[in-house]
Amino acid sequence: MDRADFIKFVESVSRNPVEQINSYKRQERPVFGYTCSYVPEELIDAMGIIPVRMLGRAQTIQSAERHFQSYCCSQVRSLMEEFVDGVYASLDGLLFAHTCDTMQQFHDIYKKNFPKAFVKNINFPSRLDGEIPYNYALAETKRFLKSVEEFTGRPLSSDSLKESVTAYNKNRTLLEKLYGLHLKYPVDIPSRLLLQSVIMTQCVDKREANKWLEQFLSSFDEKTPEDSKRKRIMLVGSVNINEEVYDLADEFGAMIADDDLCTGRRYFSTQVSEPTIEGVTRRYLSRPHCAAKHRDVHSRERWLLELIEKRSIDGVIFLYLKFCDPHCFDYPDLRKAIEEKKVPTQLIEMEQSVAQSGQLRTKLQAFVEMIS
Amino acid sequence: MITLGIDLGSNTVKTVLLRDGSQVIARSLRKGGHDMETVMNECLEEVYSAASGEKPDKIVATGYGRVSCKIADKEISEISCHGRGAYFSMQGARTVIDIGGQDSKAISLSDNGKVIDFVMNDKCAAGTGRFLEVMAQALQVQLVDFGDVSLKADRSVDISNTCTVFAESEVISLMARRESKENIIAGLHKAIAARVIAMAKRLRIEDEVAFTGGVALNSGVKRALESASGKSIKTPDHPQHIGALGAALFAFDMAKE
Repeated sequence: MDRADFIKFVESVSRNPVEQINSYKRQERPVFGYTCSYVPEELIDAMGIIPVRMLGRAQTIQSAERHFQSYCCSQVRSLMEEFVDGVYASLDGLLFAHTCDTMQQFHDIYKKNFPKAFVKNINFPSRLDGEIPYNYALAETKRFLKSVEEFTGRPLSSDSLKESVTAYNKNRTLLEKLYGLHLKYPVDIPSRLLLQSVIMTQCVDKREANKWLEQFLSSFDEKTPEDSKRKRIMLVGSVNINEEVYDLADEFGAMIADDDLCTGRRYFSTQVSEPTIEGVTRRYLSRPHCAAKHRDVHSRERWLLELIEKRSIDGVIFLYLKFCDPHCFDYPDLRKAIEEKKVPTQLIEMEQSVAQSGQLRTKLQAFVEMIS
Repeated sequence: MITLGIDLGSNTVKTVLLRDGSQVIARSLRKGGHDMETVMNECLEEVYSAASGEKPDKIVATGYGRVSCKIADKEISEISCHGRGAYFSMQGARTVIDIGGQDSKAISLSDNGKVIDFVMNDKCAAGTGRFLEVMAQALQVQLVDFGDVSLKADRSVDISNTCTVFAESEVISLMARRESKENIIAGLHKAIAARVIAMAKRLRIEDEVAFTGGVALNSGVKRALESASGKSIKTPDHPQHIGALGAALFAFDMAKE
C-alpha cells in the first residue's frame, strides 16, 4: 500500500459509507448505525457488531419534510431523508445517544416510523461530572448493553471487551499521530485528510482502519519535515462533512491545524483506561464534551484555550450547522474567551451536504488574509 | 508606476487605474452579465485610453468573478479590498459597511487600516442590493430614484418580512391598500438598514463609519442606516469603486516589491 492507496480508501469510505456497510453485509457481519459519538462503540464492537457512523449526505430534502420542520438542522433532516429513502436499509439496527433536543426527537420519530427496526437510545446524562452522573451513566450503559445482548442472544465477554478496547485505544493513538504529522507535512497530508480519516475510522472495523492508518503513518518515519509557515486555523463545531472548508484553507496558504468537532478530535480524544464497562463509561464522561453536555461553566472554554495554545493556533473558525442551538448558545462566550487571547475568530453557518456559494470562499480567503 | 484593480461583482464590473498608489487616473463601471470577460475588457479599454495606452505594472482582481480573472497577478477577497479602499478614501474609517448586489458586509479596521474583523451575510438576498432591485421592479420605480423618492415620504411603513420573496408580496399588498410608493420605499430602506445594522452589531460599530458599494449611492438607505445605528455615516466619493480601488492599492504594494 502506498500513500495514494490510503488517500483513495479514506476518500471513498468517508464520502460513501453505504458501500462499506454493504460489503460487511455481504460477509454476513452485523452492522449497527450510530448517530452520535456518545454511543459507547467499544461495547457494540465487543458484541461482534460493526458500528458505522451515520452522518447524512442527502442533498435535497423531500421525503424528510414530512417528519422534520425546516428549523431542524440539516444533519438530522438529511439523515432522515436517507432513512426514508432506504439508503441504509441493510443496517441491523440504529443507535442514538441523548444530546440535543433535535437528536432526541429524531430517535422518537424514527422509532415511530420504523417500528420493526432495532432502535436504541442511550440516555447519556447532560451533566458529566461527579458521582451522580457517573452512577446514572453506568446504569444506563448497562441497560443499553442488555438490549444489545438480547439482540445477539449472548452476553458480553470480558476478553472480547478487552480486545475491542485495545483496538479502539490504538485507533485513538493513530489519529492523534496523524494530526501531529499533519502539522509537519501539510502538503503530503492535506487538511481534508484529517476529516476523511476520522470519518473513515467511524465507518470501518477498527482493526482494518488501524491497519490502513499504521501503514500510511509509517511512510513518514524517515521523511524530513516540510518547511512550512502556514497559518494555523482551528475549527470548532458539531459535526461536519464539508471538505471544502479544509481545501480552501489549504488553497489560501493556511491549514486546518486542529479542531473541536464530533467528526474530528472530540471523537478520538481520551483513552479508555481499563477494559471494563466502568472504564468505558468513564471515558465517555471524561472526553472533551460537546455543546450539548456540561461539566462546569468554563470546561469547554478551558479545553479550547488549551488546544489553541498547544497547537499555536492563529485563528478559529466556528463552523456550525444552521439551527444548531447548543453550539449557537455557546458561541458568544467562547468567541469572547478566544478573542480575549488575541486569537481572531469567524463564524460560518452552513447546511450539511448543500453546495456552498461564493460567500464561503470569500469568508475563508478574507479570514486567511486577516490573520496573515 | 501604474497599477490596476478590477472588481468583478455580482452585478457590475468596476476598474480603477492608479498612479503610484496615490492618484486615480481613471475609473470605469459597466453592468456585468453572462460574458463577464467581454464586459471587463470594455472596462479596461476605457481606463487604458485615459492613461494614453500605458499598461499597469501589476493587476489585482477582487469580487465574485476574481477566481476566473486570467489577467490578474493575484486575487484578493473583497473584504480586504473594501477595507483597504475605504481607509484610503476616508482616513480614519474604523467601520466599513458595504452593500453590494449580492452581499452585504461590515468590516472593522484597526487604527492603521488593517482588517481586524468582519461579518458577511449568508446566501440570502435580504439586506443586499438585490433586495432593492426586486422591490424597484414591484413598485415600478427606477432604482436610482429610490433615495429621492423616499425623501418625500410622510412616514415609513413597517415591512415585517426580511425575506426578499415574502417582502415583495408584502409590498404588493401595501400597494393594493393604496399606501404611497414614497412611504413604502422609506419602509424598505428602514428594513434593509435594520437587517444590516443587526449584522454589523456582531462587530463593534465605531464612530467613523464608511458606507460603500452600489447601495451607498442611495441617500435613503444611508439615512436609515444612521437612524438604525445612531452613528453619523459617511459615503466616500465613488462608493462603487472602493473594492477596485483597494485592489489597485494592493497591486501597488506588489509592484513596489
